[in-house]
Amino acid sequence: MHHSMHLVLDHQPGVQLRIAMILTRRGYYMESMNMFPMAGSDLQRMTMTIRGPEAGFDQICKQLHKLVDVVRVDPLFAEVEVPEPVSREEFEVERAV
Amino acid sequence: MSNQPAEKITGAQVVVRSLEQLGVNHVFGYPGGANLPLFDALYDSDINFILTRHEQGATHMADGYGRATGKPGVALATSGPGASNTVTGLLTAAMDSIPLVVLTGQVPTAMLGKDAFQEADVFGMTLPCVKHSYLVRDVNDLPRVMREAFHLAGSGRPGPVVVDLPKDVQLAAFVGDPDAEMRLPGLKQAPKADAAKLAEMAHLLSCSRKPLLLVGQGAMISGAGEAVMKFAEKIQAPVTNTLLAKGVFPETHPLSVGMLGMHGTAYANKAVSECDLIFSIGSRWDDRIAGNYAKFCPDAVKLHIDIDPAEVDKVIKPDVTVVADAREALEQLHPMVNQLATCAWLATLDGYKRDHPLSWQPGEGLQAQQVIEECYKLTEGKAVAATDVGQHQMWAAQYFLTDEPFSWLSSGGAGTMGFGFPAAIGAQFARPDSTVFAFVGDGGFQMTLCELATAAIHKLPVKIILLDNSYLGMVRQWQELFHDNRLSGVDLTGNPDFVALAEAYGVKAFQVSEPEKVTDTLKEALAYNDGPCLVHCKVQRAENVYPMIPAGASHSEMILQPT
Repeated sequence: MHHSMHLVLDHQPGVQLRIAMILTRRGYYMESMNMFPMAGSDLQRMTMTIRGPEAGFDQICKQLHKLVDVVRVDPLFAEVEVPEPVSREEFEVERAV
Repeated sequence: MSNQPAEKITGAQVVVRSLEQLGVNHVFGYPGGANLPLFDALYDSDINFILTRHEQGATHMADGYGRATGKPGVALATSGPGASNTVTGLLTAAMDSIPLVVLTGQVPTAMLGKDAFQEADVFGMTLPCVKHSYLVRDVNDLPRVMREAFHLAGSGRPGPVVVDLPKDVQLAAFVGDPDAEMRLPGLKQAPKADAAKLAEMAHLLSCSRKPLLLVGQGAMISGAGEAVMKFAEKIQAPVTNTLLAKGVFPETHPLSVGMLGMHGTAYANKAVSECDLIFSIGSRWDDRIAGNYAKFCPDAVKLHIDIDPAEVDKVIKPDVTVVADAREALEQLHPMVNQLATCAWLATLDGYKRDHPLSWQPGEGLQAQQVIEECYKLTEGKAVAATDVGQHQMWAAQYFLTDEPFSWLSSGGAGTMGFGFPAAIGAQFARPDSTVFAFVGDGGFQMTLCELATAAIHKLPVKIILLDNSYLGMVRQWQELFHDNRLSGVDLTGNPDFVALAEAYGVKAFQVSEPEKVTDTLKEALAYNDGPCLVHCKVQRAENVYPMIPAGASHSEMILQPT
């Protein structure tokens, strides 16, 4: 099951580690992650897609929000479109190029 | 105007001044190469530095100090192994929401990541067991970081905070703003109770005829004792407490059914399985109290007050949850509920108290329960009780009733062996006029007994009640009950001569192995206040703790007596 969320972070060293730790301990994988600064502030915007059990997603959001460096967590409840995984053949072709 | 230049101070001095400004009286710790500047700064300070014999001891002492006062305890360690030795203490504090600040020296910033001597990634290795942490790279950040660390450790749901301090940062000249304010855009303020949800709670309570209030550590932290008392007396509801919440509601109160859970009282656990409503006030429904979640109070309405939104629906899905400070929420709820018709329910529970009291059978030799009960009687419970982890911890919880908050110090969530004795030392520093017991077993005591030196040097009158059965008793009990008595790795035969060991540290020691001599020996120990004393109690080897709810079982599957 894939889930996406937007987060607002106080961009302190280690904030990504803290987020990864929350996910890993509860059996979630980070499938994709983008970060960019929010204009006019020290904050960062993060968009993340994670994979893991449906049942624990609400708890993941709460645990992430509990982190001191996480300012906001906005889960996206719509079904997330996840790109098809790259096949071994495609990967080999890309690498050859 | 004076043209004198501003006073030059170093980062280490900023840290020590911050500690002074934050009201810190005691720091527990151990020096090393990477925290030398901090020790140099402490030389000029009025803060009492307590040199321990191990950093784990320092962290548990600071934790015990925090548990006994409700304010952050402070530990100080050097880099590398010094810092890694604090990890068990951090975990212990994190699991029980204890306010704790651990300062660690670190190699200079230019050496970070280069495998320098005594380098360790302290920020990384402590991440899962802290509320928050800092690796300070700029000396001018120090006043703000220190303020934030103490604020975070002690506010909301408290917890441990690590501040890792590279040596060059400690030595650098400070040119920043000493009054710099906190900068925590992600700080979550304690939410206010939702009035509509409180009204829903009040309605459900008013429909209940068999309610049960369950008080937890959150009620302790928020100082909800009086609010719980007024509420329970008004609505005439019985109260059960978790292991950590011993003392929030007096265990001698007629409405108290004592501790619930795996080794709780039979009547508390019967109340859990028969109540029509259970109301957790600052308890996170830990698995040691709830047993099998699928079978936990299946027919009862469940209400929950917790300051931590992440505890909502984590393991139990209550009918109504209010996210707020326990005391504030309960005070708001108080006028909304009237006395309930609980006479029959209270009479039923009184019957259970009569029929299934906590009891132990005198046998051949000395029983640990007798020693604990005698300590309770001789002090009338007016003491701080710290415990280690295992059988003696559960017997202490059962027989050393607690009527006052911040007087029961026990590692609940982490179950850390080796915690009890150093925690008692920390508590005795915090409360020099209190009688402080350290109830320890022969297993856990040997994990941190080097702190006998710390207690002896400071002449702390801690009473160490060592309940020695030459077994790792709780594990032995589980092997007996659930592994066909195939005892494996639990026999501590060959223990040292504990009396001689204590005396080698300059600690007064007593020994008792006969039931009829317990009272006199304990009286002697209680009268001795020139320093610590150890009472070596040689107790029956194969005694088990009852009642017991096996792990994963429901409250109705409680084992009351040995079969």
